[in-house]
Amino acid sequence: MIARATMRGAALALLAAGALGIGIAVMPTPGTATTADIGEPASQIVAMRRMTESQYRNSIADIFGTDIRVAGRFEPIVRPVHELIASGAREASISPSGLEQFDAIARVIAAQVFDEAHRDQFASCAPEHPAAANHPCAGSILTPIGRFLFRRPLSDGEQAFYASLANTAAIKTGSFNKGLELALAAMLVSPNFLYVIETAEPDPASPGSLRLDNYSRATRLSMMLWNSVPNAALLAAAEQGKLTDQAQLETIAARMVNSPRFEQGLRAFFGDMLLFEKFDALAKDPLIFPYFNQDVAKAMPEQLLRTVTAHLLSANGDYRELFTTPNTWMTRAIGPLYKVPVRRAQGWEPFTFAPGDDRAGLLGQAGFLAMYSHSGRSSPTLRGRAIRELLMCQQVPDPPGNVNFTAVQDVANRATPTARIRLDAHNTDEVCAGCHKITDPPGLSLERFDGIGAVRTMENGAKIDASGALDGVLFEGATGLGKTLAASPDTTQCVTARALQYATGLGSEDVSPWVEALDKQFAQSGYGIRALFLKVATMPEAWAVHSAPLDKGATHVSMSALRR
Amino acid sequence: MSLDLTRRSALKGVMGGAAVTVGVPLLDIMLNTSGEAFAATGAPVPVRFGTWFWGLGVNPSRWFPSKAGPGYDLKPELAPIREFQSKINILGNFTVPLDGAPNLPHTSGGPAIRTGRALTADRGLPGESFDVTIGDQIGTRTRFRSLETSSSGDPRNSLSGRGGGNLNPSEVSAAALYQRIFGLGFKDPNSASFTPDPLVMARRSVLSSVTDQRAALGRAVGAADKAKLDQYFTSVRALENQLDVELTKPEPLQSCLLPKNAADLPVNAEIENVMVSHKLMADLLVMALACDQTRVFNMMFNNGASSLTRIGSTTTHHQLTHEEVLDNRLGYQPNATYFLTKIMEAWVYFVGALDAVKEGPRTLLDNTLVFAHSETEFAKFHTIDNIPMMTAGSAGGRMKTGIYVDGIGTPVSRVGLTLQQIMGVPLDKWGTKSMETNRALGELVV
Amino acid sequence: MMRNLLQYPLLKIAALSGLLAIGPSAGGEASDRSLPAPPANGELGFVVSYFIQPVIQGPDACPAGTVPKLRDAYLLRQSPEERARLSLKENEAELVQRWQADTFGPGGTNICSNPDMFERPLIGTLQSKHSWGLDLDGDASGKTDSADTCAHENFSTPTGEAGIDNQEYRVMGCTLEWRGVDGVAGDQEIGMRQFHASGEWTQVILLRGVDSLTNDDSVEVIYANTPDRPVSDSSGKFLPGASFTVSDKAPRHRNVLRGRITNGVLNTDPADIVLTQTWGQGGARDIRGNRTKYDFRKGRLRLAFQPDGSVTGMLGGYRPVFDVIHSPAIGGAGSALTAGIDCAAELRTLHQYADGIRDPKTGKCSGVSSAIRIAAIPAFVNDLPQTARTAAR
Repeated sequence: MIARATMRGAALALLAAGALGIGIAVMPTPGTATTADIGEPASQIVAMRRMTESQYRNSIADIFGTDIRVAGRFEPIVRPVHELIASGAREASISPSGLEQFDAIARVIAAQVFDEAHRDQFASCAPEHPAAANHPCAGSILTPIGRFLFRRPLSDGEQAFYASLANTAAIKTGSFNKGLELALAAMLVSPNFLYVIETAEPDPASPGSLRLDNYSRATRLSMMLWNSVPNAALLAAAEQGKLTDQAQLETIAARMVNSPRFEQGLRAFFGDMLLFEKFDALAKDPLIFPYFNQDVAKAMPEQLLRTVTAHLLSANGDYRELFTTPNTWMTRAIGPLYKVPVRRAQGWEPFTFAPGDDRAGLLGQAGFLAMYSHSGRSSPTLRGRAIRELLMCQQVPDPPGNVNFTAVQDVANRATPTARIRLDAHNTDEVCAGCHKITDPPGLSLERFDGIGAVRTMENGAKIDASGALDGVLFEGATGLGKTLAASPDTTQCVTARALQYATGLGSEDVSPWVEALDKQFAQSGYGIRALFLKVATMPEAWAVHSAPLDKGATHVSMSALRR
Repeated sequence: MSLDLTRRSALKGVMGGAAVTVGVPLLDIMLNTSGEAFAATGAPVPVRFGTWFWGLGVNPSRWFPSKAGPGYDLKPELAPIREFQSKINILGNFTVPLDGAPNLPHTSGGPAIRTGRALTADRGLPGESFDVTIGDQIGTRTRFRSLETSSSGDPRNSLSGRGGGNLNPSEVSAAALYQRIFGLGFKDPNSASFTPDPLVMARRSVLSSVTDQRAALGRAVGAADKAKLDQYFTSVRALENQLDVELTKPEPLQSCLLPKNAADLPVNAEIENVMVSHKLMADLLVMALACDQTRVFNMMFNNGASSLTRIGSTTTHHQLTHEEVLDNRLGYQPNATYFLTKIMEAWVYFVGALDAVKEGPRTLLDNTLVFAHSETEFAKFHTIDNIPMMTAGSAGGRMKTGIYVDGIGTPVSRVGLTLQQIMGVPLDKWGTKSMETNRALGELVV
Repeated sequence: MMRNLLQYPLLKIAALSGLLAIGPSAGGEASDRSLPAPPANGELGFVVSYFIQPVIQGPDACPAGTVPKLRDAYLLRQSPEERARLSLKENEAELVQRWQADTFGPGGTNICSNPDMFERPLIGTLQSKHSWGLDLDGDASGKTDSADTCAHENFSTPTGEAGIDNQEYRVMGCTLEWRGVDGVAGDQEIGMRQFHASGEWTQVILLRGVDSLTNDDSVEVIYANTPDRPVSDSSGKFLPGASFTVSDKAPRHRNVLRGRITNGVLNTDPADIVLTQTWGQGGARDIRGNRTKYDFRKGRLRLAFQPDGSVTGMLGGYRPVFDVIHSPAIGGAGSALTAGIDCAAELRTLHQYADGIRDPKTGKCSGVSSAIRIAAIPAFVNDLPQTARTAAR
C-alpha cells in the first residue's frame, strides 16, 4: 500500500506551496473551469488499455487502504481468441451499463474516503465551516490523490478543474465533504483513471521516432510486475527521468521483481495466461461429482497459484519443473477430492504427492483437470486442447459446426466404456479425426483423473489406459506428460511470448519476432521467472512505440513540458 | 409504435393534447416500444421492492416442484399460485450454513436469508437486512423509505433493520396503516410540486465536466483509441440522461386512487381475522406503491414460531407442527397444514392485488420485485436448509420469471446477492463466512 | 437430508426398512466379503455418519398402542362420566385449560423441568422379545441382581443373539416419539438423522495398531468429538476422505478404549464413554441450547469392518436415567404443552426398569442399558492426545 503518510506528506507539501503563493495563483476563479483549463494532454497517446478488475481493486487498496470497500460489478474485458485479457484491454471500451457500474463503484469509494472515519487521513485542511466551499483547500486535498489515481502529476489545468468541481458541488450540496466526494468520484470515472494511457515523447537517441515517456513507463512496470498503480517511489523515479535511462531502469525493475509484491503480479499473469476467469463459471453435476462444491471451486485456482508462486518465487524454481513437481498445497476443502489427510483445520499447508500418485505439476491438479472437463465427465479433447493452446501457445482449430457428438457423449453405452474407446468411434469420421489427432493423444494420458480431477483407475468397469503422445514422444500418465511438456521448447517459448504480451498488451504476432532471443536468455537464467520478467521489463524493444501513425493534424507536444 | 419524431418532440405534442383532457389514463404512446419508460422524459417507471414473510415453512414434498427450470410442476400446496405462475419464481434447495452458531428454532433462518449472516445474539439481526440496503438504493426519494406491516399483530414481528437489536417495527393495524399513508401529511403525488434533489444536480454537473475532457483527450489519440473514447463518452451521455430524468418533474401517477378509510379490526392472531387484516393491508400497500409514497415494503403474514390459531381453538399453528405426529405414509400433518393453505391463499391475494394495477402495458406487479420466504423448511424439525422462497414480479423486466431455481445445496446468500444486484445495489459479493458468495443466480438475471 | 425422506416418503421407506433389516448394520456382524488390507501404519480413521437408537417396528412391540400424550393421559385419569363430558367439543377450552394446568406445580415448577415433583402412573413399556443392542452384563438370564446390575428381562436380537440388554428401549420404545404412527419410523429417527447431518456434534473414531482387519488381539480406539464439519454431498450425505482434528476445546471428549478384532468385528473393553450432545439446537441463552453429553457407563463399541472401508455396529452402555429425558426436561413446560410429553411418567418408569449403575449401599440402580446403532465412514483423523494447555504444562 502506498503509505498514507506519503499521501499526507504530499498534501502538506502542496499546502506549503500554496501558502507560498505558488500554484494557487494560476488557478482560475471557482466555478469557471472550462475545457481550455483542463491541461491538454497533447503528447501523443500511443495506447489505451482498460484497467482490469483486479488492477482497479489493487489500486484502490494501495492508494486509500484495504478497508475501503470496492463493491460492484465490473464490466468484463473480452479476451480475444487465443490471446491474453491484457491484450483485450487494449480494445476494451466501456458500455453505458459498464459506466453506470463504474459510477456507482466510484461513488461508494469516494463516500468512504471522505467519511468521518477516513477523511482526516486524506484531507490536510478543512474550511472554517463544513457547509462552505473552499477552493484552495479542496485543491490541496485532491491534487495529490489525483497524482496516484492518474499515475502522473495533474496538469495545472486539471488541478484547477477538480478543485473547482469540488467547489461547485460543495455549493450545490451545501457540504465541503460532499464536494470533495463528488470530485473524487469524477476522477474515478475519468478515462485518465480507468484507462492506462500510454503517452510517447520524441526519442533523443533516435530522432524522428518516439519512446514511452517516464510516467507511462512507471505505470507499465507497476501494472506488469505488481498488478497495481505505481507507488510513491516509482512515481518519483519517473519524475526524475530515471525510467528512460537503461541502467537505472534495470536497477529499478530488478528491485521490483525481487519485491514481495511481485507475487501479486505473477498471480495476475498466470491467472490471465491460464484463463482463470473460467473458474467463475465452473459447474459440475452434483450427482456425478458429489465432492465438487463451492469451497472446492474456490480452492482449485488457489491451489494452482500457490504451486506456481511457491515453486517459481519461494524456491526460485525452473519454469519447466512446474509440469513435473510433486509439490503442491492442500486445504481442508480440497483434501477430500484428493483423498489425502490435511492436518491444519484452517488455511493451506504444503503437500508432496507420493511417487505412485501420478500427480505431476499443474496438469495433475484438480483445477486444471476439472476446468478442462465437461460437467459430467472428463474430456481428453478439452485437456489436450488446453495443453496445446495455453501451455504451448499452439492454436487448435474449432470443431466444425455440424459435428455428430453421439459417440463421444454416449457414456452409458456398455460397448464404449472409456473415453479412449468413445473417441476412437467418433474419429472414424475423418473430418473430426484431423483435429482430434492433435488434441487427444496428450489429453488421454490424464484419463486416470475424472471430471473434477479425482483419481480413478476404471471407467464404467473398464480399466483405463493412460498412455499418451505429444509431437512424436510416447509416454504414460500425467507424469509422462509432465516430463514431455517440460522438455518441449514450445513450453518455455510460450510463457516467454505470454510475458511479452502481458507487459505490452500486444498480440501474439506483434511479439513473435522477439520470442526466440528472449527464450534463449530465459534458458541462460535456468528458466527463472524473475529473470524472464526482468528481461521483459527492461528490453528496449518492448519500450519502443509501435503505434499506427496519428491522425493528421495532431500535434506532438511533450506532456511533461506542458506540466512544467 | 412508430413515430417519426424524437421522443422529446413526441412528448411535447402529446402533452399539449393531454393538458386539455385532464385525467386521461396513461397512454401507451407515452411509453417506448418495450414499455420500459415514460416517453415524456425517458424516465424509468419506478421499480419497487418488497418482502412477504410467512412462518413455519411447508411440507417439502407437497410444495417444492420436482423439476428445475421454467414451466415447473405445481404440487398440491403450491397449486394456488397457478394463475400467476408465469410471474412467480420458486427457489429451493439452498442451505443456511451457520458455521457453528446455534440454530435458534424459528429465529435463525429468517435473519440468515435477509442478512447473509448467522445470528449469534438472541434476537434482532446479525447485520443490515437487504430490504434496507435496497431501500437506500431505490427508496430515498419517496415519503416513506419503507413500510413494514404485520397482519398477525406484534410490532416486533419484523425482519427488517440495520442490524443489532433494532428492528424496523411493523404496523399491526390496517386502520393505523391507512392513517399513516393517506392521513395527515399525505401529499397527492399528482398535485405536488417538484423539488429536484440537490445531490443529483451536483452529480449531473460533475458528469458534464467529465464530458468536457473529451476534446482534450480526443486531440491526442489515434483512430483505434478514439473509437474507445467515443464509446466511453457515449456512455457518459447515457448516464447524464438518466440523471436528467431524475431532475425532471415526474409524470402523473394514473393508477393512484385514494383508498377509503380502512376498517378497524381487532389485532390478534386468529387466522380468520388475520386473513381480513392482511387483505386490507395488502390493498393499502398496493396504493402506497401506486401513489409512489414508498418503493419498499415488508409484509409479515405471521411470525416465525407462528402464533396463528383458529377461532375457538387454543392450539397454535406452531404447537401443531410439533405436536401433530408426522405420518411418513401421508407425508404431512393435516391440521398444521390447514394454516399453510391459508398462507398460500393470502400470498396469492397479495400478488393478485399488485397485478390488478395497470402501469402502461405492464402491471404494478411487473414493476415490483416481491420476495417471499419462510424461516424453516419443515417446522417439526426446525430444518433450515431448503427454506421455501419465492419471488413475484420482474422488477420492471430486470428479472426472469416462471422458473424453479434449484440451489443444489449452495448458500442461501446467493438469493440475497441476486435480489440486491437486480435492484441496482452496487455489490459483487455478499454474506459472511460460509455464506459469503459472489455467485448470483444467473438464470434469473435478464 | 431429511427433506428427501419427506419428499419421497414411499421410496425412502423401502430404503429405510432395508437398512433396519440387514445384518451388518443391525448387530455389528462381520461381512463375509473380503475386507480391505490393513493400513501400513496401523492407523484407520473414521467419521461417524449414523448415530440413532434402533427401533424394531412390528405389531408385537406395542399392542396397546403408543403411550398417551398428556392431554389423553389426563382424560384417562378422570372418571368415565367426566371423561365423556370433557371430550365434548363445547368443553374443549375447559379440557385444555385443565390438562395444561395439571402440568404445572407450585413455585413455577412444571412436569418436564421438575419431573420428580410430579407423581404419575408408569407408562406402557415395550412388549416384544426383540431388541437390537449388546449383551452388557454377560448374564444370559439377567434375572437376578449382580454387583453392579439389577434384575431385568433380556431381549434377543431379530438375528437370534440372546442376552441383549436394552432397558432404555423397553421403556421408551412405545412412546410416540420413538415409534411413530406409520410402522416405518418415529420422529426420533428422522430428527436424529437431520440433527446429526447438521454436523454440530461430529464424532470421529481413530484405530491404532491395526495389523489385520480380521483378527488382531490389541487395538487402541480413540472415540472423540471434533469441531470440524463433515463434508457432505448435495443431499447431505457425509463423504469419505475428509480430514478432522480431535477437539481441543472444552468440552473435550476424547475416549481412549482398548479392543480386539475377532473375525472382522472390533469389540472394545467396557469403559466410560462420554460424547457431546447438543439438544434442541438452541442458543446458550435458554434451555434449548443446553450443551449436554452422552454418558455411557461401562460403554463399549462393537464395529464390523465392511468391504467398502466403512464400519457398522453398536455403541452400548448404561446411561443415567435422567439423561434419557434430558431433551424434554430442558425443553421444560414447552415439551409438555407443545409436544405433550409426560416427563414425570417417563422418568418414573425409567427408574422402575433401571438395570445398571447400581449403588452398592442401597442396591438401587439408576441407569438403563442402552444401545445406539452407528455407522462410520473412512476419514483422516488428526488426534490431539494433549490439549494446548496440558501440553504447555
